[in-house]
Amino acid sequence: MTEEKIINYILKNTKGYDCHIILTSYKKNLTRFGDNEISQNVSSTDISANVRITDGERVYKFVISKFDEISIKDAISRAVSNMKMTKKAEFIPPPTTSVIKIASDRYFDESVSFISPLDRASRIKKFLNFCSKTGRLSYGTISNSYTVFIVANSNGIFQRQKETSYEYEITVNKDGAYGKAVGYSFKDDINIDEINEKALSKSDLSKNPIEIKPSKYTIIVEPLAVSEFLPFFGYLGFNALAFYEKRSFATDNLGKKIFSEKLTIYDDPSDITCPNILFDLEGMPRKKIVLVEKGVLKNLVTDKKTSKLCNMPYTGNSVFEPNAFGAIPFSLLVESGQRSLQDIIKDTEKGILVTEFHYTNVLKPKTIEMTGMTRNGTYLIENGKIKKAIKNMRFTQNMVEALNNIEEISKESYVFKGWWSLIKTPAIKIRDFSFTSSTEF
Amino acid sequence: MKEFAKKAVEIMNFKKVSFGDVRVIEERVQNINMKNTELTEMRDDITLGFGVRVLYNGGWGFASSNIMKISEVENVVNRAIEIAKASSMIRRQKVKLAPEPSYKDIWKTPVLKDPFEVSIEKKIDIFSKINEGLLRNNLIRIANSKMTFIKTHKIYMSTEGSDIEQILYYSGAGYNATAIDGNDVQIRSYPGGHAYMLSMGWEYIESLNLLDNVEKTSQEAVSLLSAPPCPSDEMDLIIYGDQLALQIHESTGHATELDRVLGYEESYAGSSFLTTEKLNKFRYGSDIVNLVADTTLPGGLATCGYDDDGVRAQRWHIVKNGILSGYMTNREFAHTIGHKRSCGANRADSYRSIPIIRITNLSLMPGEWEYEDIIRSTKKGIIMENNKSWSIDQKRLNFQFGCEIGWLIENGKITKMVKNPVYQGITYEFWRNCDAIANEKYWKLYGVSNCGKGQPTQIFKMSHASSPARFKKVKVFSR
Repeated sequence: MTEEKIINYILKNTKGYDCHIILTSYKKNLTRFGDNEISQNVSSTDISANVRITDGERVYKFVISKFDEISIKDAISRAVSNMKMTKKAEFIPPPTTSVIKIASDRYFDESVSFISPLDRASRIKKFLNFCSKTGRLSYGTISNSYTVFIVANSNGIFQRQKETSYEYEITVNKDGAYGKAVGYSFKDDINIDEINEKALSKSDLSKNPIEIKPSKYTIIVEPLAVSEFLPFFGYLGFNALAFYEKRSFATDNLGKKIFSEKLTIYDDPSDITCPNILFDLEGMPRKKIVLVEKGVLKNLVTDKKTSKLCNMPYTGNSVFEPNAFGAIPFSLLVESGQRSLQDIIKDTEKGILVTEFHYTNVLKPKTIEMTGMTRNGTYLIENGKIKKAIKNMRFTQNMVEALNNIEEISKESYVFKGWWSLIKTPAIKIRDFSFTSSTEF
Repeated sequence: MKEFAKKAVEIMNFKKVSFGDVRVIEERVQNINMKNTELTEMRDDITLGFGVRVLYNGGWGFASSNIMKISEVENVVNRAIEIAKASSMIRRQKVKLAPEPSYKDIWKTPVLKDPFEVSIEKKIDIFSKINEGLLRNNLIRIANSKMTFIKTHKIYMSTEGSDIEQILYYSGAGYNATAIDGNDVQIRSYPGGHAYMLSMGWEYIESLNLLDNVEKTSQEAVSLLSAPPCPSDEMDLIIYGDQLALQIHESTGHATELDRVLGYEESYAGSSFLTTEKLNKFRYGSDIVNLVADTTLPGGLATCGYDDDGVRAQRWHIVKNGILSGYMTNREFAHTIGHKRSCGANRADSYRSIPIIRITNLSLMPGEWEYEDIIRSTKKGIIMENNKSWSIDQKRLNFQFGCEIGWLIENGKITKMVKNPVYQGITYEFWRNCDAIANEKYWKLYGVSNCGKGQPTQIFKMSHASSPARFKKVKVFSR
C-alpha cells in the first residue's frame, strides 16, 4: 500500500472515533569507521504509523507496523478493546482542524537519497588511507537518509513532508591527541575535505597536553560543544509543562532578563540552513518563536494541553499528545554575534577553548546545573593565542548562570543534529565557568 | 517467521556469502504511565521485522526491513551484500569469526505469570493507588508511575546451520515522587531511578511490594526539602542497589567492552583505559573485588540462551581478586585477546540494528560482611541511595554520580539525612579503595534498561547484582 492508501485505510476502519495518524516511512544508511577501517555498515527501511483514537471519553495510542489489510484491521480492533479498559481521560487533545495544508519537499535533495554504500566508502577512503600512512587513527560516520513524514486526522488534516539528511563526522587521533569536526546538510553539499582538515589540525594542536588546575575559567565554547548542552534548555526550560509544574527556570521569570543581553534564541522552521519539520506532531504548522531576546525570556513553547493549562497560545510544538513530557522546541537557533571566533580568541587574555562536551547530564533541572567532560580538543588560550593543549576536565556548572555570563558570541554558526531536532549555533565565550576535576588524558 | 528466516539463509547461501545470519523478531511492548491522576500512556503494540547480516569479501553488511513480504527478503539480502562489498574496500584485514558450534534449540525466559495475562484494569488500579498515596502530601507536586512489559520472539538462523528460537520476557514497574518548594526540587523513586525492570514475569511486579513503599518514598522526598546539603569532604562512601549497579555499569561494564577497547566506539561513546595489554595484569580493584559477567543469571535483563552471534550463554570473570581478567567479547574480536571462542556478548536492540558488543549481566560478587558491621565500622562516612545523575569521561576514568538521598554516618551510627549528594572519582582508584562488601544475604539484582551505545544509537538492557559495598576516601559534595 502507498502511504496515502495506508492513511485512508486506517481512517476508514476507525470511523466513529476521532482518529489522528503520524506515519513515518524512511530509509536510513550509515557507514561507521574506526581505526581507519569500516567497522559497521548498515541500512534500515521502515514504515510505521502512530495512531490515536478517542471516543470522546477515552483516548488510546497505538502503533501499526504491518500494513496488509488484515493486520491493520487487527491492530485497530485490539486498540478499540484496549481503549475500553482504560480510565476516562482527563484531557483529550482536540482535533486539529482548518489549518494551512503543507506538502513540502523543501528539505529534500534527491541526490542525497541516491548516495550508495559504495559512494560513502569512496568519499572517506582517501583520508582514511592518509591517516593509516601517517600513523593516525580515524573514527566516525557518514550517513544519508530519506524520510516521508505525514500527519493526518479524521477531520481532514493531511500534512506531508519529504526530507533528506546527510551527515559526516570524524575524529582524528595521533598518540592520544584528538580532534573532531562534523558537517550536516539536507543537500549533497558537505565539504568532506574541509571537515577532515579541521579535525586533523585540531588533533595536531592537541599534542602533549598539560594539566591545569580545575577552577573557574573564561571559556570559549565552540558550536559543537554548545549543541551538547543547549537541548537541555529546550525540554527542561522552554517547555511550558516544566513551567506549569514549577520545575523550569522560566517559573517566575517569564518576561524577565535572566540571560546576557548578547543572547537571543529562537525556534524557527523557516530557516533554510537549519532544515526542520514544518508542522508539529498534531499537524499544526510551526512558526518562528522568539524564546530569548537580548537576554529576556520572552516565550515558551506549548502544545494543546499546556496552552490550556498556562493560558498561552498554542505554538505548534506538540509531540503526539497526550504525554507526560510536554512541548519541545523542534529547532534551537542562537543568533550570531558580530566578530569571528578568531578575533574573539585574539581578545582573550586567559581562557580555555572547548571543542566538544562529553556525557553531559543534569544535576539540578531548575537551574540546569550540569556536569560533563571536555573532549576531542581542549586548549589553553593566553594573550590572545592558543598556547597549549590541556588535559580534559569535568565541569559542574549552573548553565542558566553561564548563559548570563556571556562575554561574546561569534559570527560564524553551524548546524548540528541534536537528540530530536537540529541546532544552529555560533561559539559562545563565557566567564567564570566552573571546572571541578580533571582526568588523565 | 521461520519461513522468512529460512528464505534469507537460502538466498545468502546461493549468493555464496562467507557468513550470513538473519534475525526475525516479533516484539510486543506494553507501556503504562500515570502522571498524577492522568493516564499519560497506555500502549500495547506489536512490531515485526527482520535484519540480515552478511560477511562478503571480509567486510560486514547489514540491512533490515519491516516489509514482511518474501520478495523483500531478497531485496534486503542483496542490499546487505552491496553494503558488505563497500565495507571490504576499506579493511586492513578480512573479518574472521571465532568458531562456534551451530545449534538447533528453543530457549524461553522462565516465567511464572505471563504479564500480558494480567488485566489492564488491574495495572491501572495499582497505579491509581500509588499516585494517590504519593500525592497525599501537598508538597509532592508530581507523582509518576510506570509499568513496562516486553515479550520478544526471536528467530535466529545462520549460514553455519544454527536455527535458534528464543522467547524473552521483561517486566518492570516503578514510581517516583517530586517535591517542590521554591527553587528546591527533590525526587525519590522506588525501586530506583534506572532499576525497575528484570527478565521475569508478573511475579517480579508482585515481589516489588509497590504499595508498601509509597509512604516512605513520598515522605523522604518531602523531608529532603528541609534536609541540609551534603557536606564537601573526603569520606567513606557506602553504596548499594540502583547506584552500585550504575557504578558497575559505567566504570567496569563499558570499560571492558572489547570493541570500545579496540577503538571501534571512539566516534560516539568513547574508548577505554583498560587496554588489552593490561589483561591478567592490571590491578583494577582491591583483593575483595570480583566482578562476574553472566548471561545465564536468572532474572538478568541480558539473560538469554544465545546472543545475536548465535553463541551460547556463558559466565566468566571480568575482574578476579581485583585483577582485570576478561572482557565482553564477540566472535569478531575474541581473537584480539587470544581467545578461541566468544564469551557471547554480541547483541542488537531490535531487528533494525546490527549486533554490537554490549555489557551483559555484570555483578559484584558478595563479600563476607554483615551490612550493620560495615556501618558500625565507619567513623566518618555517607550512604548514598538511588542514582539521580551520571557522567564519565570517554575512557571511563573520571566519573561523577549524583544520588537522590544521602545519610551521614558518624562514629558507626547513621545520624542524618542530607540532600543533593554527589561523589566523584577515578575508576581504578575508587575500586582499589573498596574495603568491605556485604555478604550474599544482601546480594540483589538490579536492571539497567536505558543503556545507549553505537551509531545509529541502540538502547539496550542488562542487569547488575551486588551487595552494599564501602569505598574509602571518596570526594563527596553537594550539587
